[in-house]
Amino acid sequence: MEGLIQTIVLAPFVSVALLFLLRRQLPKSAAAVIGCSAVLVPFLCTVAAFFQFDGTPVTATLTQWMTGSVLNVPFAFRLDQLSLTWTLVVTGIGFLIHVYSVGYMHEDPSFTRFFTYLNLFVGSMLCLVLGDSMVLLFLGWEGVGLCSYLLIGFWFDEEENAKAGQKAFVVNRIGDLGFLVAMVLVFKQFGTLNIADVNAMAAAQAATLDPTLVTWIALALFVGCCGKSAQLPLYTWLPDAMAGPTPVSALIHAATMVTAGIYLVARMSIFFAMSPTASTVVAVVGCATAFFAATIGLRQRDIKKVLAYSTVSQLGYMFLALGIGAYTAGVFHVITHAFFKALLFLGAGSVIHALHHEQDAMRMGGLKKYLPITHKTFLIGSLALAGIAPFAGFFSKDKILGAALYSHGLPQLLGVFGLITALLTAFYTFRLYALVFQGEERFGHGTHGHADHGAHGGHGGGHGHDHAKPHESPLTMTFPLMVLAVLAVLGGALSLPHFAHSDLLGKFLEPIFAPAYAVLGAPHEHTVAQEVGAMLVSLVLAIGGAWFGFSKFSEGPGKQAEHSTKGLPFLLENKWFVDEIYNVLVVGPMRALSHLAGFFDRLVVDGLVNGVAGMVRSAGGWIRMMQNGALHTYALLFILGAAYLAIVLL
Amino acid sequence: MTPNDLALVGPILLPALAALLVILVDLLPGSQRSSGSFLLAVLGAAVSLGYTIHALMHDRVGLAFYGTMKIDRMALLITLFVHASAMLSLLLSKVYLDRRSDVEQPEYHAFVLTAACGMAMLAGANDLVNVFLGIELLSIPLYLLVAMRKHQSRSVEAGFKYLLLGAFASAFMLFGAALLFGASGKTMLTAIPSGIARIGNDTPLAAFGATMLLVGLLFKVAAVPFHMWTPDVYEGAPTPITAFMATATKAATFAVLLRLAPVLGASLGEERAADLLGGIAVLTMFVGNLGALTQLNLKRLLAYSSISHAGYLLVGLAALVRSYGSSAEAEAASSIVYYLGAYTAMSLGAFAVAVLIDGGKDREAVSDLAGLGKRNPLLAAAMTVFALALAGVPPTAGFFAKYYVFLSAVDAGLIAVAVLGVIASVIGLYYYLRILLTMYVDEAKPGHEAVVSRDALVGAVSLAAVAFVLLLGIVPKGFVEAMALAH
Repeated sequence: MEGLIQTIVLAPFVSVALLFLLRRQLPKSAAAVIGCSAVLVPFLCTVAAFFQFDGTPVTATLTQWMTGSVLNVPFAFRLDQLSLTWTLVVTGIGFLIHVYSVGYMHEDPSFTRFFTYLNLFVGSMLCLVLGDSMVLLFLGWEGVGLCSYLLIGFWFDEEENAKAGQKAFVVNRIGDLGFLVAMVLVFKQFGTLNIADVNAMAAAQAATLDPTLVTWIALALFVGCCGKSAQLPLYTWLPDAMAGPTPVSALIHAATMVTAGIYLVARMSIFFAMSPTASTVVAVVGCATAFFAATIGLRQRDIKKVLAYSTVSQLGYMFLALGIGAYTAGVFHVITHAFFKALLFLGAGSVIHALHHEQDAMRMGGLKKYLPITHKTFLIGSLALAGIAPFAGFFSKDKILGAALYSHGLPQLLGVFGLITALLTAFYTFRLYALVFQGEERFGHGTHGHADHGAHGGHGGGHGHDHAKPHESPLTMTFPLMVLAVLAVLGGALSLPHFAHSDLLGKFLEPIFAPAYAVLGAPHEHTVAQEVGAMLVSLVLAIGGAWFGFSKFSEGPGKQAEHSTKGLPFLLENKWFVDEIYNVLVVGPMRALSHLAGFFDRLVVDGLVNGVAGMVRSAGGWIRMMQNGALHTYALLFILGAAYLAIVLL
Repeated sequence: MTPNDLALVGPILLPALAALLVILVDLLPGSQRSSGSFLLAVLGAAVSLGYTIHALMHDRVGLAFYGTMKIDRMALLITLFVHASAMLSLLLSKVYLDRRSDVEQPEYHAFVLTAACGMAMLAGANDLVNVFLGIELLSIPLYLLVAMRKHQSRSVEAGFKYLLLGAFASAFMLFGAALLFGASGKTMLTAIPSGIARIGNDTPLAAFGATMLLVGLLFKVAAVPFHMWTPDVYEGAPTPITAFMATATKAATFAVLLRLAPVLGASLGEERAADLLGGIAVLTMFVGNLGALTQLNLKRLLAYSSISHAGYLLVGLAALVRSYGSSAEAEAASSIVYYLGAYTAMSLGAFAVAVLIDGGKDREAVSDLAGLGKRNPLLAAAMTVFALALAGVPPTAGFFAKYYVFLSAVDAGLIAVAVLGVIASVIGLYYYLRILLTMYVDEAKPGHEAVVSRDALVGAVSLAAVAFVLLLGIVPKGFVEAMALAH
């Protein structure tokens, strides 16, 4: 078992080293095999570990790391129900996306570099998920962040992408600050950073812990989560991050990395359970993000931007679930979302690939004829995202909404907003589906390469742009689509509604959330009537929204082909002008401040610093002057030094 | 003398035997003398290294020659560093000497082995006489090696300076040893403290003796103000010899300083000795780091860097003297040994890069590194690791080395020394980063691109050093445990 855990963590890093050292020698095929098996091996090991797992967490220590009287951090990895679940998702979906990337990136000159980064990402993500201390978790947290910037800016010769990478970097720093503060607070209170110990101590001292401190820890953690999981107000980097290659969007910015925030809250759920304030903040921020991002999704033209905003929105649902204490439902939605969102992104990638890097949905249409497999799998993904039974998304979203609606007070209100969001989600999902696959063909004429996202054209080169007819992607790309489609259909079976008496995931995760529920009180059991009622309402809304979206756009974009110039559509299309508002409110003043500071700098600080630097340098020069090469100077100093020592002694 | 004694001092005898063989082979007629002596010398160093490792693994420790030699784990570990350094320097010498015709190779190789023998002896010496023997045995070949390029005035001048000042330092040491003997009636290091206590400490005899002995040893490790020779000698000497001196001499001399810690405490008073050493440490760290700031020559820069590292090591020594007899003692001692191991690897690595870019034309300016990041990314990456390690950036060995040394200083109550040490290392960051900037940002002047020699052996050496530096940094725990047994 411990060997398995070690293999899981080490395999991606071994591959990174191999790919880096042999990047010149390896042919693309070998790099692809190494890169993919570096994720397949951990996946198989995780499956093996799953079957060997008997309910007691296992810790595998690779080696000691920091040791000292104060802080002891070994390289230790802990497999329990929660990390096992996440590891299965990360390695399983990660493997499919690796396979897909072989096809998607096959013409890219930096093929090997791409797989190096991708493997580095998987390794860091596993470190984040499996690390048994907050230090390792943070190491992984920073690692996945680093890979994310590297991959967003993968085509770094394009300014747009480099800027998006920078934005992600800056926004995530704000989040990381929160994480660090939480870490310091936890260490100060508990004297250790081992997560299991911290949780156990917090649960044991639940009655005596200072509630303000707990709230601060939880809120600081949540700030970190907002950055990584793109919640209000730190979500703006995620849509921009879609500048990276599409498999990256699928793996990092939809299925795995962005769920790290959910993981962290679930992992430290005891702190949130102990602090109603923090939980409320989580729920409100989550719900608001879900709703807000869904409204923006209504009017986006770029196929990847729609999916990006829907990711932000779905992440909001997950936080809503965690905030109202429906922890299992939140984790469940992470899993199903990973299935169908990875599927949708990869499908979008397949479309973009077929259309030579066209991303504007207004210039698509009628693709069901040319891309049959992509079409069918994308439809399944859309049904799942829209929350239509019996697809995976229905069950998980229904669990969250049900938990919210049948509680009291604020969560109930949030549940109503959740329902409205579900309607919006179904609408924009089928709007996108209809625009891309139905109606008449709108591609192939007019200027090629929209100003915003013609960016990758140069890299997809070699396709031959004169091909009029798009064609289905190769098997390496469609195979992952089909597997993910099956998962998106069947994923709901992991946690069926209560009346079906088959909540596999809930049972499995029970030990993880038991301490939190010990504080919160056992989750409310809904009656069959309540459950069915909630299901019906959400299903009606979803189908209504989907039908409306589909019928309105199945003939083409209509008026939406033109950019709107006023009213709500104008606001939505421009994402509520949040980026611009940030520019005015935050970036502008910062610039002004930095100009002012620059003035101050030049006048005062520079003077001071130059003074100090001058001092340091002249001290350097002075030492050099003493070093005049004359032997007698050296001997004299020697004697003086010895004499000084003698004087000191007497 | 028993067979067991001989087995214990094997790591000392083997290089001496190899040196004799090299000289004998030199007497044979034939044209393959230089490569023959090279192979023989490397083989000798490798066998010595292997023997030392074997002794370490099987715990072949004990007293030899009536207790005048103490071969314990600390001695073996430091001997290991010495022999590894000797072997790597010999490999570097091959590249360096093959491009020059002004050096007699067989003597060169024999001298390196003789010096290694002296250093190994120093590491195990437990008697004032043996300490002095070891010091001389390592110094005399080094004087010669520094001046080995006898048609280069720089080299000869360096050798001459080193000889004169070295003789000066030896005189101090010998006086100090005599005074210590007078104050304690003993020459065995472990017996001197009780000897001083028995005779009584009412005369400054012991204090003077210990200080003079200390001055001689501080000269060898290039501590301020006895460091003046270092930049000139390091610059003038053949680069592989500079690498050897900077690492192995330092390691061997610190072995003696570790053993002298109780003597220093007994003769000077623990607090006063720690303050004295702490003061010298601070001075050394600052002079080393400030001096390096303005250097344009890579070897001189590394010389100042080597001075600053002597300072960090002295912080550990001050902590050891201060905490002698307490629970923190072992931690302080092992932090020094760990530091020596890390320093040996990263410094040798940096010098190896210097040898590789020198192109047989003594290209030693920092600016000769320009554009290395583009032309030879692997070598540049290796140099990056070494520079970051020397600067003490995690997760390299250099970081943990400094961390443990400063930690032991804090534990011993030498907080000011630790704080000043951190400040000094921040100053040091600047010139190590300059190396990186030069490699990656600067463009080489046309026609001035360094000719990087592609030598498989040296490549393997640098790679091993990189691996060691990173391994020591990523998993320091195991190494610290190994070192902890050292004392």
